Amino acid sequence: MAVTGLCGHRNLHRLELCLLPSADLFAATPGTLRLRITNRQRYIPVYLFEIRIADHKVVVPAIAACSSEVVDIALTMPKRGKQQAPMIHVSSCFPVNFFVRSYQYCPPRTLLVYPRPLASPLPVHQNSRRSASDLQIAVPGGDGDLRSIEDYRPGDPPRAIHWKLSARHDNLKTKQLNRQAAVTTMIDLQQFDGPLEERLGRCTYLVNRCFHQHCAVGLVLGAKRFSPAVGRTQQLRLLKELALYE
Amino acid sequence: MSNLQRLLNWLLYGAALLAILPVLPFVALWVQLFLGAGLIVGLLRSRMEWSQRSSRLAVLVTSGAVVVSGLQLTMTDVALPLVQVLCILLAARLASEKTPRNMLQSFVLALTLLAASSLLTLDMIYLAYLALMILMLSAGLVLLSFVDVDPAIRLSDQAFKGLTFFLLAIPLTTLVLMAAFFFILPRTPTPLWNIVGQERTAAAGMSDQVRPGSFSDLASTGDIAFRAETAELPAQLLYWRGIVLDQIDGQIWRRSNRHPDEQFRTEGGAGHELVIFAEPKSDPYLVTLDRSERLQGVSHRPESDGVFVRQRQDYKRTSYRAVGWPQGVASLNGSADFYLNVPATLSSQVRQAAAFIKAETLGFAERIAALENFFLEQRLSYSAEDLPRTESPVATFLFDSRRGYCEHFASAFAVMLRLMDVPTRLVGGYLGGTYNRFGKFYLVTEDRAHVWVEALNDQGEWVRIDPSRLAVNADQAFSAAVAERSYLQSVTDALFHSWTRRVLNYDVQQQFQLLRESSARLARLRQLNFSRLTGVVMFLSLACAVTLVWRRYWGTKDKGLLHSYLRQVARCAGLKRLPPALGLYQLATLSGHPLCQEFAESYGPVLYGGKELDPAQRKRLRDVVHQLKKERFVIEVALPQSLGDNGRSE
Repeated sequence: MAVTGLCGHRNLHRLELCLLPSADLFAATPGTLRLRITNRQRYIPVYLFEIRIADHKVVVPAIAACSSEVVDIALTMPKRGKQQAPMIHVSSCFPVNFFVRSYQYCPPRTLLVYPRPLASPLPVHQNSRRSASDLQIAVPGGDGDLRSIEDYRPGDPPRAIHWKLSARHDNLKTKQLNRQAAVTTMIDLQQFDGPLEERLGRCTYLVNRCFHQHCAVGLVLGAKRFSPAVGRTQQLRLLKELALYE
Repeated sequence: MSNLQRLLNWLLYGAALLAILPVLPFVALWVQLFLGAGLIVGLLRSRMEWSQRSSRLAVLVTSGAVVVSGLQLTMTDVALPLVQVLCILLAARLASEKTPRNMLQSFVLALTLLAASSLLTLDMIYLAYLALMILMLSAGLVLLSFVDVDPAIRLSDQAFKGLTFFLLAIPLTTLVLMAAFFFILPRTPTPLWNIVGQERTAAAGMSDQVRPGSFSDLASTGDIAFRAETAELPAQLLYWRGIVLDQIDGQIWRRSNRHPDEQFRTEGGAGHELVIFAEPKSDPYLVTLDRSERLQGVSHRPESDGVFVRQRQDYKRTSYRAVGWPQGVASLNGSADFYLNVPATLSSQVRQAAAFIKAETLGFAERIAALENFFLEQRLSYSAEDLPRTESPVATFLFDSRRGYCEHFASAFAVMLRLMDVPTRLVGGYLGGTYNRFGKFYLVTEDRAHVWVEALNDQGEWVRIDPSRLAVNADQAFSAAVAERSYLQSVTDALFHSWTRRVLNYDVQQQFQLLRESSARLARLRQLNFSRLTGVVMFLSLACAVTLVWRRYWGTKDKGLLHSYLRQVARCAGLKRLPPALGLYQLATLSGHPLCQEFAESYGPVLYGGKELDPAQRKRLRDVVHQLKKERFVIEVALPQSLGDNGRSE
């Protein structure tokens, strides 16, 4: 008993946990939390320990000495906004399952939880004038409106050459077009009916949908207005605003 | 089935076998068959269809078997029925499904069965069984904890190698602690298992009667009678006294109930301290060196004729201490007429021979010498085979067959001495023994049982005489009587004796003795030379300091490699040492040497990124350091200490 007790005590000794950036977390939606577990012991591996958050657990069979392992553990955050990272319970029954050693780790981090996405169609009413200007995406492309005329550079596609203009000049000129994107979407919170959380959820859903469809999406949140843009950065920016909106 | 589960199964069956082997010779045949069936069903279970009906049937059969075994339980026989019940339960559990709970129960049953086997037999091999059981049990429980968490869990080869360290370290540490606790935990005066232990069937011990002529053949047995721890003694002193037979009825010598008034004087040097370890036997006589006094360690009654009688017969191995005085003298106070009685039915031939010798001689010494001459003239030979069975054993021995063993010689000699008015008695015991130099003890076997004569001289002192040595073939008979033990046997004897002495017979008295010896040693330590002790302490402190400094700066192979590289670069650049703030990459740039560049690229991630070198990289970097020995280059570096300004190294 003494020997196994000592082995059990040493097993969780110098085990470090660290939260890593993980997938987006949405309120009341199953997500994952990424953890890096590092064994700081110089010679002794760590065996058979369990990481638990609420009802979800992950069993790690072994981590070698001076090594790390990254695990994803299921997590469901109830509310949106900035939430304190949940308590992580680390336990191990090593070596003989007579004693179960454990400790609790409270990560000194807050998690940004986005609103729970609720499936929603795009609102019908759109300000056409605003839409027309909002369709302008200052991203070079090949199928949109003419954006500028520039001198030919080696490597430019032949079909981009503006022949008529080139004839009037001594060197070749090329057309720089905007990208003909899909319909640019401007989402306004006020356009949706229902409680605030539902409206935020619909907006979240639409932002995610536009991102996946590579559409430009913008957002109007009360007095705040965010111009349409594409890309992951825009998505995160909008989701953050939705998460923190009061 | 994962690799862990497979290994766990093997450990389980190994532990079960270790538990079953010691008890197998003792349990009934049907229990042996039950065990075999349990093992086989357990091995084949995964391939069998096992319905609920089969489970119910198995439970019924097991319950029946337990009840049958339990009914054999009696107040005097507890051990064997208990062991049989455990065997049945183990067999049933081995045959059941291999769930973690069932496997844990199987391990516990195996351990309990091995412990219970000590009630039946406690040979030295038990230690090996116990050590292996601890090993298997510990390893099994560790693996079981993995399988319990996740039956499909798998470990990589490297992780498994690391786990092997625990699988060995836990049982080995446990065994060391068990050995330490064995010596210090409180003990009872009597081993606890004696309460439920079986009565042993006692081996044939020394007889309390001498009946020459009753047996035609004396079977020799190599059973061990006792071991006696003492310094090696001259062969002529190796007479082990057991019983005194002073009364002859017809042909039979017996011990009378008399308590003669005798006095024993210890003379002739210091006594020999002995510790006797006697095997279980049926007679109550405690064998010691001829003659001994002051028995300790066993409840006994000392008789005035040098015989020690055990007061409580428990048919167990016994150990006791004695002090032997082989040169001591025992004298008889009072009348010696009792020791002159001879049977009325004694042969006239014997009487005539004795009368003739008596008439020719005067005094004790002359009569002894004359009788010895008579024996020699009769050309008697020592033999234990094909002896005539007769109503007149003395006469037949002396005048007809002229063959016999120690009982014949001693009986005839004693009778004739008595006829010659020399008080005489027989002493039964053992002669000789094989000295085991490993364990420093005499090993005396049953076939060394011997009978000799004690005659009372004119001064009233008992004198030992061994008439068997008057046989014409005495040298041959006594040297060939017992085959010498081989080297392996001697080592085994010594180990077994250690086992008996230090484990089986380790009781509360020995604990106190150990405590006293430890205190004495501790007292001696206080008288140590302090200057010497100071020197030792200083040396140890220096060694610790050196070790700590080394670990800090060169604690790992990689750190040592880095220091070698930096020293080498400094040497190449003609510097005593490099500035401490100079980084690896900076050094590589300043030197401009491709080897330095290579070293920085390989070692940089280790130093700054916490990565580890693999063996191939380490070898290559060692080669780089070695190649740098032949290089010379210049480093533009600020060295305020060595050059005084931003100079250039040469």
